[in-house]
Amino acid sequence: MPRIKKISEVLDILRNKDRIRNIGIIAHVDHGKTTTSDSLLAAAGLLSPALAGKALALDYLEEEQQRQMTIKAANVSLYYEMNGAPFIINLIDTPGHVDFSGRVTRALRAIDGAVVVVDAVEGVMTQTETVIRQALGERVRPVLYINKVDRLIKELRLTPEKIQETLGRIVLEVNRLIDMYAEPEYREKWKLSFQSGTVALGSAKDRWGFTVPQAQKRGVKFSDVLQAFINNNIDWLKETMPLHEAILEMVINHHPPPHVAQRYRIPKIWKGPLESDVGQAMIECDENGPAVMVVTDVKVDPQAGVVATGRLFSGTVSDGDSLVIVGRNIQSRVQQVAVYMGQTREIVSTLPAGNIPALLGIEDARSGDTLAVKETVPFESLKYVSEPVVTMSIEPKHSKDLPRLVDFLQKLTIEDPTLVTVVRPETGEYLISGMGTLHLEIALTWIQKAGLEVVAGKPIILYREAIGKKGRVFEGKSPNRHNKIYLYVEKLEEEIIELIRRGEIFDEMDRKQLAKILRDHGWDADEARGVWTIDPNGNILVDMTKGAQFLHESKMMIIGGFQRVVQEGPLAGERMRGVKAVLVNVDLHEDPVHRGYAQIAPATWRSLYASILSADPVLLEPVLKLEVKVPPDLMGAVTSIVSSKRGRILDVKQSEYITVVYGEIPAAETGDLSEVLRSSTMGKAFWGTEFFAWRPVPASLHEKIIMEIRKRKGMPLTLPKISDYVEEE
Amino acid sequence: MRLLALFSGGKDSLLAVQKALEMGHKVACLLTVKPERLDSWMFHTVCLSATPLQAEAMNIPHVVIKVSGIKELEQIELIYSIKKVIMDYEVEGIVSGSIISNYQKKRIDMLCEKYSLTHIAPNWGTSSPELLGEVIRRGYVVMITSVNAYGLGREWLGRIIDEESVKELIETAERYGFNAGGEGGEYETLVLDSPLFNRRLHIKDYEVVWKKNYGYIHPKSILLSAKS
Repeated sequence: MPRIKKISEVLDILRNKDRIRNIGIIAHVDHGKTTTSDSLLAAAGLLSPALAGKALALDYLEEEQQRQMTIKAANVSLYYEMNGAPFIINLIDTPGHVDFSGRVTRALRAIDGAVVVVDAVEGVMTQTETVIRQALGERVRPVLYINKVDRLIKELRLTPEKIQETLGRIVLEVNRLIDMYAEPEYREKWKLSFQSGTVALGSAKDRWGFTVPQAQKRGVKFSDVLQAFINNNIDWLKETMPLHEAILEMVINHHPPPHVAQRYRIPKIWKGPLESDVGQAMIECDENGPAVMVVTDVKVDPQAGVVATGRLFSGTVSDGDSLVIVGRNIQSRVQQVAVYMGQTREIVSTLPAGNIPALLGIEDARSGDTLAVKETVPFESLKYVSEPVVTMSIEPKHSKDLPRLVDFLQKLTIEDPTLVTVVRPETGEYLISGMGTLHLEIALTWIQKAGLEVVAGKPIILYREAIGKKGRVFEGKSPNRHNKIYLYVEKLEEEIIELIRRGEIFDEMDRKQLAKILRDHGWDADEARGVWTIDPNGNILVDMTKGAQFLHESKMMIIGGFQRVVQEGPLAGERMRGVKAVLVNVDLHEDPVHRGYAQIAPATWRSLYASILSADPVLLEPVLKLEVKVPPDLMGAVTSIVSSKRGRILDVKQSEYITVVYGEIPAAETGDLSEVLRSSTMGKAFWGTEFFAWRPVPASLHEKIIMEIRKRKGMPLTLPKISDYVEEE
Repeated sequence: MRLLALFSGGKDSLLAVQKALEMGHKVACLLTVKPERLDSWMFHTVCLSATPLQAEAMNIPHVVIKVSGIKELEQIELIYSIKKVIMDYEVEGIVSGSIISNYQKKRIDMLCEKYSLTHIAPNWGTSSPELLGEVIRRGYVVMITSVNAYGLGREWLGRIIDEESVKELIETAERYGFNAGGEGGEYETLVLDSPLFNRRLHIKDYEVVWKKNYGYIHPKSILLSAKS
């Protein structure tokens, strides 16, 4: 059986680290990341036709089409022979857009080299810069592929000199970024040039491309390429200089194999002790050491269940191994070890360090988790908080579809952790929340593609409540008046909120470690030690009482009261952000029966609500960053739309052929943005949004929006007063 | 034994009185302590105006002692004022409705020690569901007169404790984390009728006072009338 044979052959290669590369393709949106990946996958599958034998060529072609469809979704291993030697190139999917979730960094952590795709016409754009900066930050070596070179020739009809000048400028700009963002010892080593073969040119759409050394070897000159265009002989280009050869040979020649890369990358990307056995094993990429793997992607397969894919930095994983999800106290057994070979998941049963295994059976694994044979320092902190800004209710059109919908939503949120779904038990409604209206529209498309008919409600903007200054101390009394709790609130520093958002500090964290971080950020020692709880939305409760009696027994109840307040702010019942609540004193009944949850929690929230109301509470709205690409003559239309929607233009970048408008716009104003942009630019605008910041709602709209939310939630239509919360007996 | 009963007019103190009588004791006097403040740690505060009528329905002498209701001070006030009552009625012990509140029990124990009395607490250690069940089984008519816990809203004020409300009370207590028997001051009750009464109480009209966090009823007039 040829199939079994090929797997065993592949396994031999996977055991030879010199023959492995772990790479990713990174690019500014629309620069051709997907078409580039597709051409690699289509041409360099698991088996080259030569290896598989001519009899399999037909099957191979059929599979090719399926592969093209899935490349976007999976990590895949590509097989390639260079000078007769077989190589496995593991291509790890990096998210196509820059987001705040850390997914880009996570994917970059798993790769040693990156192919940066730049559009020849548009040149280096903001996200090109961002992804290069992030890659260098993780010690990932970049090489460059300049895509859509045909546009320079066909669309813009540039002269050969002008083409070379344009291409040379792109290389120069990328090198400038390497100068700016690489650590000193890599700056020169990692510089790119046509001559060294670290830059490829081509067109992913037509699947041709080359590096200068390759062209020289084949005796092809740039003028021959131009001539091919004049003669409209794209097939000749494709046959003489297939793109996948250009890119894969560039990768094999210039990207490091795993054991070489891990030597200098582990000290940068892993924060644990390097001299430990785990540290040493990872530095050495030792397949005999303890297994440590970082999960970069989790998919839910209809048959196999959860499939966790990621980079195995040390050790060997085999079917039946028991792994822990580091820091989460979950132990699971690996049912099956596989690798993705294009479309298909091939069972390999065992895989050594340096590879990208796909593990079945680790049901609780999520992107970002570190899996290991024993507890160790994880690659990233586990708490990852997405801050959805828009929510929408959905329900199935046919109630019989409900179980399937529930299933599908669960799958969606596992695969895209920035999507959050919750059920409202009171109404049976499903709420799906995301990073913007566009994000939810995409999620709806997925649901529809799965063959589920749903009725979606109007998107609702999620606001936050914050405070403007320090509040006063208020006495909160329990309903039985036997317990008194005294708290005040003040603004939590932005840098601390940021630490919480990035998951660098979190509730389950060791308190000593936490106190140290907070002291490093300027907190005084008592406060840093007194943290009781960290709310993932950016709020902290601190205990500053001195020798209070029975406090310990009431701690969880006070935390419960605090949690209610940060989940439902006083203005509109929205979540709070940036509140530091300080417990200064308590007066508790000595008898536990008089200070249960029903007494202590209300006393806590009353004090807190009153203090918040004394601290200039404000409603914050999510503001999105907007990037619109249009032909230069349509710029005016875009800027006027942005300003008509309470937006602001941040920057305009003009090149000869395209104008990019950067702006910010409140999420509340983006409901009909697609439509308006389309109609006023005749469909010529390409645009995207991402979360940017929480901003106070303009004073003129403050009360109006609060009342709208209160009305929607069935809350009384009056603003709350301090006297609503504290007693005036 | 001749006993003095600490008597708030609620279900627990009345049950204690009945059980003491069943044990063969004689309840010589009912003592109601009336705090001036609403947030007393020791004593009931609402509907105390009904206690003389209940005493009358039971034919037992009734004494009222006023205290400030200020934590700890009220205890000292009681210790001084009670001395005369003990002498007048020549009692040897005190019967109280304490169930699980150590705070109350400890203070009554101290009081008893000071005057060499025996503390009888027949309800002590009884679980809330058991106690509520007993109240119903013995044919008490008990009204909720104040609520003081998260989870108990104003709709509870004026409700009569029957099988349905007991079920609801236990569920609510579990959900919100309080004592279903009201031992933590979650609610207070008034017994309108019991086997010990020769006539029953009627609340003609009452006002509901609600303070966001807690509330109570304030009866406008209470009458004693013949049992039907």
